[in-house]
Amino acid sequence: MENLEANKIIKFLSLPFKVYGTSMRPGVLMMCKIFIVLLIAHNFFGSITDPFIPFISSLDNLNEYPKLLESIIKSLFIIGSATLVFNYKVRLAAIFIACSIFLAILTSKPIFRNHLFIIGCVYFLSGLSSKQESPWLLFFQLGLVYLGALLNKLTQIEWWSGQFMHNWLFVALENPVYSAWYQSTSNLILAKLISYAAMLAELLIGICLFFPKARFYAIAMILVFHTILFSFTGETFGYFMEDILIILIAFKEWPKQLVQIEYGLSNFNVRLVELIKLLDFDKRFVLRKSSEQHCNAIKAKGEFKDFYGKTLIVHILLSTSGFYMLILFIELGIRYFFNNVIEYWLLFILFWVLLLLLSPIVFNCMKIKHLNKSHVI
Amino acid sequence: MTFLILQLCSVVYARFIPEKFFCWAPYDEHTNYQIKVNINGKDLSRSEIRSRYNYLSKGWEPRSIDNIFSLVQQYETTYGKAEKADVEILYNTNGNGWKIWKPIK
Repeated sequence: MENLEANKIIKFLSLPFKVYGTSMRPGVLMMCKIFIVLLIAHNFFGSITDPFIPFISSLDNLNEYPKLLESIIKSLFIIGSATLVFNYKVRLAAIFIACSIFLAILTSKPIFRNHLFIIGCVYFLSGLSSKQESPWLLFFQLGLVYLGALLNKLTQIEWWSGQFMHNWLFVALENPVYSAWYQSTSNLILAKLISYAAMLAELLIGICLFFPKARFYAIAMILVFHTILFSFTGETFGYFMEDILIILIAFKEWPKQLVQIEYGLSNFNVRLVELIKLLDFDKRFVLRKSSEQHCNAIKAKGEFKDFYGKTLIVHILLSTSGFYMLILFIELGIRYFFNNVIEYWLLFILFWVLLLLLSPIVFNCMKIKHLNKSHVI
Repeated sequence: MTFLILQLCSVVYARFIPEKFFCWAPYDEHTNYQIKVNINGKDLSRSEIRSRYNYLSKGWEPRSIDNIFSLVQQYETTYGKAEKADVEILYNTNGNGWKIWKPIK
């Protein structure tokens, strides 16, 4: 009897790490859970106030009732987060969190940030997204962000002349690579080239996100574009870069059925299996030793049967909630414990390792597309 | 879909106003700025200015500088109206030289 109670408690406490069995697609729910951790880590809750320089002036009238609006917004966030984390009414919970973010922004002009606003939009659209269809609203949202950013740059003459990029890299960031080049040439050619490359990347990503057949290329370009941008500037733009990478989680197709994995008994495989067991909170992978002797390979049956080797391993990792939590906590840990140069180099290593880790999927998808077969992103 | 169309309208609307909120316009310009506030002959410190507007008093603004003008203007014509503060913002957008902005009283 006591064992039964203990099992129930353990099952309940493991819910925050599980993403199956709700009205949301696993990838979308995973993204929503990660965003809660990100918002708390960046003190969104602490930034919620009573109306202070609000976007809608009439909200100032609510200051006659101190802490009223602040309490409402905080309650929306707490209720939404708690229910979403414990997989209860997750779509409604996402709408609650979106409302808390929108209200917090409308209440206070100084806290407006694009990296906060985009999370609000994504929560709202996740709440509206159906489990049965691909999260196309999120693809459109991301497309709108890139095309909106592009339009705003296209109308700025100093994005065309290179003056914006020069001022940003040379004066604001004192970027050593750009500074060395500029001091030896004294012209804005490199600044222009970088500006045009950035605008072209935003254009291609924005357009590709609107077309199902081209979305894979958009995702690949996003990964490469932001990793290079971070490497060159050291900027994550608040936590905008993290936002974009976390949104990509929603686009991953997770296995619908249990996946059988057979593995040979090499040292690497044994350790990998241990890792998968740790990360796979939803128990989607049934891991079995291979019956074939002297077999060092790792093979899958069912939905992942077309994948082999590194590609299969990456697909498995990307279909476990523990993997995303692990990466998030590593990233937050780097930001919390380190500063300046060490923080930059550790994040640099993390982002490039992630990109290299994902590259087998990228190459595999390109190969499959080339052969005109169905594929999974 | 309506929600996305509203955002699209906001992006288009932002073409006709100086402020760039809700229109996905990060890093379309980059401004070095410093806010100075004087009340009854006393200059406020950087931390006092930060508390006053809940915004950094000095630094780089990666969005339109008009966003900062907008919030300072709104503060000085509402909460801070009685203090009759002398406020000025020194700013340099994209390295084109320093300018001064003052709120309309």
